[in-house]
Amino acid sequence: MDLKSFLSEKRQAVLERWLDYVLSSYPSQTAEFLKNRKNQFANPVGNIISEGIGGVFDAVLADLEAGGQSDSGVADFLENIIKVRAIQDFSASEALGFVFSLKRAVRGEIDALGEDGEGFYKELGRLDGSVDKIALAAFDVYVRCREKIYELKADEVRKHTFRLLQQANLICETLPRKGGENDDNPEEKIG
Amino acid sequence: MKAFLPFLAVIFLVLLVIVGVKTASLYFLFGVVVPYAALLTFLAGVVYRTVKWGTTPVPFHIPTTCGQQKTLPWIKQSKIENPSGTGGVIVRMLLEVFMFRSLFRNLKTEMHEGPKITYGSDKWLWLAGLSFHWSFLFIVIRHLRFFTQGVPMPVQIVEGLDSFLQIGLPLVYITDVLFLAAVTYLFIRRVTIPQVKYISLAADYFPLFLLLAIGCSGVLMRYFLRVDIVSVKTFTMGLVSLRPKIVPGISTLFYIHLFLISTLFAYFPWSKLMHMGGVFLSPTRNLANNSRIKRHINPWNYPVKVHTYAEYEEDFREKMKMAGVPVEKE
Amino acid sequence: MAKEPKPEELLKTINYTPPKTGWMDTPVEIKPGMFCWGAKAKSLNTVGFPNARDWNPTEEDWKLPDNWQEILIEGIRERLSKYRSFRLFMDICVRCGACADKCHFYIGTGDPKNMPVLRAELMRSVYRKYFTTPGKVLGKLAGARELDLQVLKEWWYYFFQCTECRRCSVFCPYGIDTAEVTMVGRELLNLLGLNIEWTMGPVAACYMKGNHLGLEPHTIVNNIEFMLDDIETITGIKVTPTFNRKGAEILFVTPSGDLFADPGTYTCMGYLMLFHELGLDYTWSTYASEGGNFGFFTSNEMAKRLNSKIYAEAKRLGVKWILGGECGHMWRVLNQYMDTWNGPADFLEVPKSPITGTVFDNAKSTKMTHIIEFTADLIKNGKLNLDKRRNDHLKVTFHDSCNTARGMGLFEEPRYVIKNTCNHFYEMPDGTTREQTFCCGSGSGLNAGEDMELRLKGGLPRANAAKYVHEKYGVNMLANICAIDRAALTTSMNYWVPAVGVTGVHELVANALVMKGEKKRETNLRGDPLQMPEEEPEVAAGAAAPAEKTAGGKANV
Repeated sequence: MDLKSFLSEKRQAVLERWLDYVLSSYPSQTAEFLKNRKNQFANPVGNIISEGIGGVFDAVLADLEAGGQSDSGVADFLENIIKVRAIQDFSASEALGFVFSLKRAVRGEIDALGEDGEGFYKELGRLDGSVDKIALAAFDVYVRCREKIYELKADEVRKHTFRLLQQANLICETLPRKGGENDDNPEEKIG
Repeated sequence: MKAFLPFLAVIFLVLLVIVGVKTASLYFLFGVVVPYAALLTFLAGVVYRTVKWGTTPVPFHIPTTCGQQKTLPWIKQSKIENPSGTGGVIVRMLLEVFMFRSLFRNLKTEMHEGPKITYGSDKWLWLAGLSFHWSFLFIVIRHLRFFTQGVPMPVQIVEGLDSFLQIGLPLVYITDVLFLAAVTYLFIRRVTIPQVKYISLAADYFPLFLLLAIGCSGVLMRYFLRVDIVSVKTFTMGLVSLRPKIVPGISTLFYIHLFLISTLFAYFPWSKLMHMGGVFLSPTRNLANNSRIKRHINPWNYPVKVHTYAEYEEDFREKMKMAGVPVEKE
Repeated sequence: MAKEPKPEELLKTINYTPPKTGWMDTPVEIKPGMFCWGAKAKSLNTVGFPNARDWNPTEEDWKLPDNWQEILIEGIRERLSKYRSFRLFMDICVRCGACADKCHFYIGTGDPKNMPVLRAELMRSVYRKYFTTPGKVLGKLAGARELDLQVLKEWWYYFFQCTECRRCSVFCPYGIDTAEVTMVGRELLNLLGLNIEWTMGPVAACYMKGNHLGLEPHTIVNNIEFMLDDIETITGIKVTPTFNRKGAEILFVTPSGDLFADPGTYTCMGYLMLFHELGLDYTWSTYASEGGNFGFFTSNEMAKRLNSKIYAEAKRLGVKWILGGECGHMWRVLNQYMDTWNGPADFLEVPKSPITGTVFDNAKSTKMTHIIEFTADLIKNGKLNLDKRRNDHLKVTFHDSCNTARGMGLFEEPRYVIKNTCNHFYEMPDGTTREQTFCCGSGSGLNAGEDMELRLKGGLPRANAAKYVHEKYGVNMLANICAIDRAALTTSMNYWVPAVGVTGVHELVANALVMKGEKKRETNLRGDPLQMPEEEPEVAAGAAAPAEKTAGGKANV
């Protein structure tokens, strides 16, 4: 069996380990809530995280299969998680550290096999490559989220002053003339 | 720690009786003085607390509305969840007091995604809370047989209902089982659900241990270490008729039961157990949402300093005139 | 990576044991992005609030008066004797935990002190220490603690992390309302000048100039004239509202946010167009130019001082009744407080729609009607010529605002209006709407810029439900009847679900409204081109049965 099939088989177990690593970045009392409350509306953070890491994991598997050549986007899944982590009380390294802990989760699962798992160690280099790729993508998403937050702050100020500027004839008056609300400028969106 | 001290406290209370009654033979103290004192404390305390709440004004009309308001005639009002009159309020309060309506609401939000782990603690809280309180009420009613000449009809009915399963000898009362199970559950959830454990105080554990001990001593007396019912009734009738006398041949177990109940009575008014009275006075539940229809009076409403229109016009008269806004003084 | 423990250590920490220290021993940490700046001396002085000075919450020294503890204890004593709610809610909580995970801030932050029960315990612990015998004798064992500087800072931090949305009070078996505790908490902090500038600035502005934004009378007129120009460009109709006009039948009061910031301005244009179309005899006021009441987020007295302008102005202008715009906390105040504070309004008449003749008996005493009640009645009586197709590009969902939901019960009217102005309406999942609605995350004066992370966290539960209907039904517009929602949800949606816009209900009304003598509309109020089929508009005059397209929004996927 190659690493990819092994991981597909052990998907649930690896994800559980990984989730535990991710949640351990939260205070324990919070982690318990995030883990145990299953309702996606009563516990959006926990659900976004569990769904998100599932998606990222599948992307890693796809990348392994494609020999590190997969360019299918993981951005969506990453984005959902990172959007949440970008506004929680984390530094950038803490917010993104969860990506790397996938390596530990996989190794933990292989270690559990004892001698039977030795064959997989050779392939771990490739896995690490895929994870690193995603970590870099995660960095982009994180920066976009933080930029978005500052943009939102600026937007609110702009909306508050727009009419004043308009009155002072500092803005030429043409329709449409919105204050940035739902601008369909893809550059500005997170995703 | 927060659970351990209250546990010790209850053990201590039990030991106190054993020492007091068995070795020191303080029958009169534990059988007469303490129960009377506890009852007096209970009555005085409950009246004091309730009067204190009741005499504190309700300055504003602040019901929490949980349904459609009374509005245009063709829009159906939710008369119980958002009552506009006394009738609706009474039904809302009855549902709250007898069915724990608000706790029940938790059920609705419990939607599980897929057939994964189910986690229904909220529903269980409602069920356990309801079982506990109803069982307690039934048990109290059943105990009236010890304080009345003969056994009144209502008490007999309750006893009949309660033992309809017809198992065991003496017949097992369903509420005895429910009571112990519910209190145990309430304790277990307090120590196992991390959020609840985190917010719990010693004052939350003490009543649970106390109730558990009361329940256990009662069950022991009825089903296992049978006490002499006739002597007990003679004794309790003495208490009720204010001619208390110690009846010989009543086991220490009974005194333990009596003392723990006395403790509960004396403790009740000074603790969170007063929620029983408080629920009736809660202004978010016992008011109708009719504050646009009928003026609610605040007894301590006082005049406040305002910025009058005249002062405002003084500040902005020229600007108002320039913008074509009418002014009082040209 | 900053802190990466070894796997074995980690597994130990994933034991999920509660923190080693109980909450009383966990000191507050004032984190950036989670609080609003302290109130400036200037704002406090304007309304005569105590301990006016410039201060910074992140600094050690909060510049408190020497006897601050005494002031607070006396403050608590006074409020215990004045508010049954406060006294009762200090006494009867059994800490069952039913409220714990109902708070949007707890859900979004996971901070245990954001559980409603613990937020209230912050206050209760002090109450026990100074006002109950067990607390005095047993101290910590009875859940009591001294009021020290740490506790004070904790109060400040967490009472300004509560939006007074009252969702917890729906689930509490005794109806304990954390908003009551937060309100008292903020009043007490107010005694020491520990307000936030984001509420105090607007309070001072509203006191002196009549509205939160500090718009002076000529600016209000100018602002509205700009909107009138836009309306004329879009519809070809010249709308001519009046200001401070004596003898008008109706005084119209709306939150000033609608005059100023998008997308509230479109809602405001909606009011102007609707009233013009009806030929309503109404006036705006520059003195009572604020429906909202940020005073409500500082103290009861301040709220009353600001609120007094509405009745005073109605009396001065000699109107018959008052119509109020779309706003949330404004309506909590108008419904539950105004008459008590500043009534009786016996110089007014019971509101009666001059168009339909409907008498609004449910406002018999306050004489003030919500515009959504007014408009729903118009539609029911077939008085509006509405072309729903103009809103066909929208898939709309409705966000119940906390205050109109749990402090009033205004559920069906806005839905009726939306269904009669839009063809596509979808409900968000059960448990997130109506009385169980989630707060926008920015209510009660917390919609500042510096606490953006707090707002986005608190906004997640709402945004998450909106995302669900966006993905399931393609919902792209979140309608609401609250000025703070219009501002705050715009930001929150922009972060969490950028494809969903935010609108007031009367913007939808105005876009659908076929006005007498209007030119063919090329754009909607936002200036976006209308995508309309060419044929004649099928006129859905009012009472047409609302085509309910809601899929119930059940979330059992």
